[in-house]
Amino acid sequence: MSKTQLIFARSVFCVASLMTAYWSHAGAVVVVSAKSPVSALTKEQSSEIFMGKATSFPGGGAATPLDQPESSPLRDEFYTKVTGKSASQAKSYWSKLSFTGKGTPPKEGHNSADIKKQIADNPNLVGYIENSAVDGSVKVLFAVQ
Amino acid sequence: MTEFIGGNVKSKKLVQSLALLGALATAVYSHAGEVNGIDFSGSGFLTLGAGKMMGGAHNNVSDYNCPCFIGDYAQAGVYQGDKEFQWKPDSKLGVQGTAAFDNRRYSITAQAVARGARDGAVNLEWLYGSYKLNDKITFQAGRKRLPMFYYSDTQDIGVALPWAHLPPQLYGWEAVNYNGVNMMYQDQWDGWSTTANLLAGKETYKDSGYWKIYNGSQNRTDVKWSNILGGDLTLSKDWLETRLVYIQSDTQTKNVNGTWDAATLSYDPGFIETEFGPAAKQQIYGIAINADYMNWLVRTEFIHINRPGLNFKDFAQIVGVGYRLGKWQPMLTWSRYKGTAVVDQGGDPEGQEGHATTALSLRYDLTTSSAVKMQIDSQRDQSGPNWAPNYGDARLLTFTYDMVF
Repeated sequence: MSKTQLIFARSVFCVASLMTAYWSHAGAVVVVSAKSPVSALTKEQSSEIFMGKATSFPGGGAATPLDQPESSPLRDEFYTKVTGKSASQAKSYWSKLSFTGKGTPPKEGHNSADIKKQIADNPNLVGYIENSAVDGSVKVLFAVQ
Repeated sequence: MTEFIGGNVKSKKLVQSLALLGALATAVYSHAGEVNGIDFSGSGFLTLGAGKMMGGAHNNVSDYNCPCFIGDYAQAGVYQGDKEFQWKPDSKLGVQGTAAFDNRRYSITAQAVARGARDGAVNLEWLYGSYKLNDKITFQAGRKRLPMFYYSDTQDIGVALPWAHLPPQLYGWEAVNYNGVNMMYQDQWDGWSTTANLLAGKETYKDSGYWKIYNGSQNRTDVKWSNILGGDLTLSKDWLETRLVYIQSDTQTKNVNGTWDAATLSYDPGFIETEFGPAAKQQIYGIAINADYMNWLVRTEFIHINRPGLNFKDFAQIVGVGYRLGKWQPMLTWSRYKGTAVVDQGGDPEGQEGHATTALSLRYDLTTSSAVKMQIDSQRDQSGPNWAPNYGDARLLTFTYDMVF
C-alpha cells in the first residue's frame, strides 16, 4: 500500500468512526410506556413537556418528563433539536425557574436503560432514548430529527 | 409575619460563612431524595467575581475612594480605587433546600446567600411555603423576592444572566425582598405561555446597602416598604417574551447613625437616630420585551417610579443585544438611569441624579452548569450640577466564574 493509499484508508476509517459515533447518539426518540394510551407527540408538544410548560399529554393524563444525565450527548442533541435551546441554555432556563419556585426541572435517569426501565413501569413518565434502544417495553411517540 | 429584617445571622467572617454554606450545600445535596414521603432536594449557586477599576473620575465620594463603579446598589457592592482587583462586590454563594410532599402539592423552600459585598454575612433571602391548588394556580406565603424586574428572581444566579453583573442603572433599588403572600397563575393562552402573579406584603430592611451608596459606606439606614400591592404578567411564545409589572407601596426610611460629612470628613459622632419619616407613596411601572431569535439575544427593559407628593421621579432602562456563537456569547448593553424633577413640588431640574453605562460582555459556557464571563463597563455620569454625591465617570473590568449545583 502506497503512502497516499494509507492516508486515504486512514481518512476513510476516521470518517467512518466519526459517523458511527454520530449515529450512535443520533436518532433520539421520545418514548412512553407501552402501557400508555398516548400514541404520538409533536416536536412542540415534546418541547412543552420538557420545558415545564405542559404537565399533561394532549389527550389528558399527567406527563412527567425524565431527562438523560447532564453528561449524555443525547441530552444536548435532544434539547437543541426539540426545544431550540442548547443543554446549557436549558439548564439556565431551569435554574431560573427552580430557584424562584416557578418550576422543578425534570428528574434524571442514569442512562437510557434506566430511563427505559422507569418508563416501562410508569405510564405518566416520558423520556428520550436512542432509537436503537427501543424495545417492546416502550412506545415511540416522536422521532427527533 | 416574621420579619427577617435584612437577615444578618451574625456571621462576621467571610471564610466561616462560606464554610458554613458549603457544608450546608454538601449536606443538602447529599441528602436529596425521598424520606417518609417527603421529597427533599437541594441546589445552590456560586459566583466568584474579580474586578478592577480601569479609570474614571478620581475623587472621594463620601468615604469611597473613587473612581467607583457600583455593581450592586441593593448590597452596596462598590468597586473602588484603581490599583487592585477586588472580589467582594460580585462574589456570592447561595444554597437552597426544598421539602415537598403530597406529590409536590405542598412545599417549603429556603434559600440563604453569603455575599462578599456584605463581608460574607449570611442572609436568608427566601423562605416560603407553596400550595399548588392545581396545575395552574399556586399560592405562596413567606419571604420572597420582590418581582420589580425581569431578572429580579434570578439576580443572584449568575449562570442565568448574560452579564457579569446586572446593569446597575436599572437593577438598583433599596428593597429587593418582601414578606407576604402571592398567587401565581400559569397557563397556555392561544399558544402563549402565561405566568401571572399577584402579591401583597411588606418589607423592613435594616442596614440598607442602597443607602450606603448615598450616605457613606458606614451609614446605616433602615427602610420600610408597607402596603405593598402589585402584580406581574409574563407572556412568552417561541422566541419572544414580554413582561409587565405594577407594584405600589408606601415607603419610609430612617437614618440610624448619620451621614458622611464631606466638610469634616467624618460621621457625626453625636448623631441621634431619627424616626421613620412620613410614608410616601410610590407606584412602579415596568415593561420588558426580550427576544431569543436564532442565535440573537435581545434584552430591553424600562421602569418608571412615580412618587405622588415628592419632587422627583425615576426612569431607567436597558437595551442589550447579544449573539451566540456555540459556547461563546458576546453582548453589548446600554443602560441609563435618570431622575426627573417635579418642579411644581419644588424639585430642582439641575439637582437630579443621572448616569448611563455601556457594557461589553463575553460569556463562555464551560459546562451546562457553569460559565465564565468577562465584562467591560464604561459609565458616564449625567447628573445635574447640583446633584450630590456625584460619583463621576467610571470604567471597570470584571471577570466572573458562575456555577449552579
